[in-house]
Amino acid sequence: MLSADPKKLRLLGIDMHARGRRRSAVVLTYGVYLIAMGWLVRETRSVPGLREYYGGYWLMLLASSWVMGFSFLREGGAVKRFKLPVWRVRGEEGGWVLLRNLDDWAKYNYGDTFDALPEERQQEVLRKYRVGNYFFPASGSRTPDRLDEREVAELDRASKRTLTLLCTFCFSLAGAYAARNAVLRREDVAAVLFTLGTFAMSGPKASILWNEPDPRIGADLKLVQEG
Amino acid sequence: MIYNRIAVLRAERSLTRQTLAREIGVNPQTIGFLERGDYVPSLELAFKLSRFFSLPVEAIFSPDPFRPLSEQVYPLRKKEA
Repeated sequence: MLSADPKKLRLLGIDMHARGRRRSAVVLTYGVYLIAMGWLVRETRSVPGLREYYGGYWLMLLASSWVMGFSFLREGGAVKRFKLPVWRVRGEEGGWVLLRNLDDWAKYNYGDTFDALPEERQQEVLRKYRVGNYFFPASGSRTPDRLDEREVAELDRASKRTLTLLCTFCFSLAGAYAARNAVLRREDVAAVLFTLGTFAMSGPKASILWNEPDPRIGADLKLVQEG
Repeated sequence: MIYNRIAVLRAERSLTRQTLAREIGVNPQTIGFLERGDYVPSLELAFKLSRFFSLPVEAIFSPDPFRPLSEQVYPLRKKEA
């Protein structure tokens, strides 16, 4: 479920293959986000400039977008995309992919670009290749971006874990607000909704980063060197 | 728990995880999960592995731990002798 591209498993130059490092990065990302949201709630109350013209709201949106789009938990980052790339279109058998050039054909059949394949594979791709745009079933693709059956199962587990955690978080919030005497303000509600949305969107990725073992760890038998 | 001999079979054939993964259409990490026993494959994947190694499914997967090959081979040789 982790990205096959080692470059995507680097954060500020640090190799993040080790599970301990990934867990630290998840804690750090959420920690920074929650601190930022807390600070924004406080500042929105006290600074008139942030209260007017939805200033606080835009900054909260920016903080949430950072987690989902630019942090270690971003889409297409250390964790594989949950959906195939944008050139996938819906079909009867779970989707189709559009093959437009030689690299697309090579990725579809052997999971790598044409230049990266050994000569024997290149010859096979050249034999199959046809000029033009063709739709093929996504299920037949061997691109490393595609999720295999184990990864789909892991994604389901991560989504369920996130849902359970979010429900627990909501119940805790309900208890906390029920016991609270102070009046809820709009910035409190906005911050809670942004936080819930951000956790819901990034939670499955965080769960996978938290649980997935180091892909470099092999089985007990190590007679064959990894390529 | 389902035990398997994928690591042994792969080593016998001097295959890397990448090669085996490419041949049966999964990601290399999944081969690691299978070898460690952290993931039980679907019937479809089990049959793909069986076809790739040209062995019956029960020769690759078993609900009981596999006996070491040396134990299985040497008693046979003694009987033959």
